Amino acid sequence: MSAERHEDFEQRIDRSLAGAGTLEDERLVEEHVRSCSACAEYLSASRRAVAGLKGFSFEAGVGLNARVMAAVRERAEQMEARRRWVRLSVVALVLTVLGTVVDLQVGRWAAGFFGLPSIAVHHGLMALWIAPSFGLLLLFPMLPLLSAKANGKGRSI
Amino acid sequence: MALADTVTGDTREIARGLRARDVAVVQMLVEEYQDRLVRYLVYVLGRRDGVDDVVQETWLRVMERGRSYDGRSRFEPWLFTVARHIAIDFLRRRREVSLDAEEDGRPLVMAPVSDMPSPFALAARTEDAERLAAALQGLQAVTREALVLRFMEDMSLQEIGAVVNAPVPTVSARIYRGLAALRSQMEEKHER
Repeated sequence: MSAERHEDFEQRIDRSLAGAGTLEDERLVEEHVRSCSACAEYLSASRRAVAGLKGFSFEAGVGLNARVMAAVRERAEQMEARRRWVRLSVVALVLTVLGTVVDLQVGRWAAGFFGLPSIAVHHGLMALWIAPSFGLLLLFPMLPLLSAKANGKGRSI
Repeated sequence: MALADTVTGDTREIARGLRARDVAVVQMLVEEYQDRLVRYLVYVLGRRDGVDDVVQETWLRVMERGRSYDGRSRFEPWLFTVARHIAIDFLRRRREVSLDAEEDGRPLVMAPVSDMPSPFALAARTEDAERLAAALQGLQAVTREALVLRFMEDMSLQEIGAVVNAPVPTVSARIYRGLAALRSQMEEKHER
């Protein structure tokens, strides 16, 4: 048999093992190796090589799963804390904007309605509504620090 | 939620759990996939040290970015894609060669970090495996990676291509190259 023909069947064997072969490849290889000892040995060595790979055993080290899950839980808590701070900051932003709108648009009307000086209503809104909301909003840039502190420690990796 | 079912078949349940950042789902995934993840990373990194760190970082990334898994395909390729990115970062941090370096014609050599025996030599349980250990350690990381994904994880060429971000012909070529190296060990044994 010619070397080209062996090569052709070796390529078919490789394709079949790699998952790139067709049913026709497999059928032809099966027929061919019955009468060709060289290609039969090639197929056998290939199969032994693949089977040999399964002779390696790698397992997670002792305690790895526990360490991983501790880190995952910690990260989940950090993420939850971060989400809480983001939600709080959004609420603070809305309250700040709303307080400012009320102060500008409704403050004078409210002062007249309740018979109070406009400046007093303005100061009241500033002290009790706008300033606290704005203060909370200023916490936003400190978010990562606060999240880490809320969880007692920083990233594990 | 039936968590046992989650990890045996229903990828949509896994996706739902990851979207909800459900720690219980992550725990079931860790228990189900940990050994396979370790094996994949040993093949990619070609050593045992550092694998635990990459494994931990992989699961943290799964927790953080699990929303990007849509459950429409098997979970393993997605998990190994995440792990691969972290392994590449790990190698970059250690100023070692990129996993994709061989595509530029540069050989990818993972220099042994110590005189310790390779993880393959240490893990070999059979005579054939012992013979293959040296060949495996001498292979490029991308070749070992293709071998483990094809023959240990039983992935299709398309799935492997998605994991390693390479076209199918490239993946096939890596598998052929790996097979040739391993087969030569088996043939040598037979000739003796």
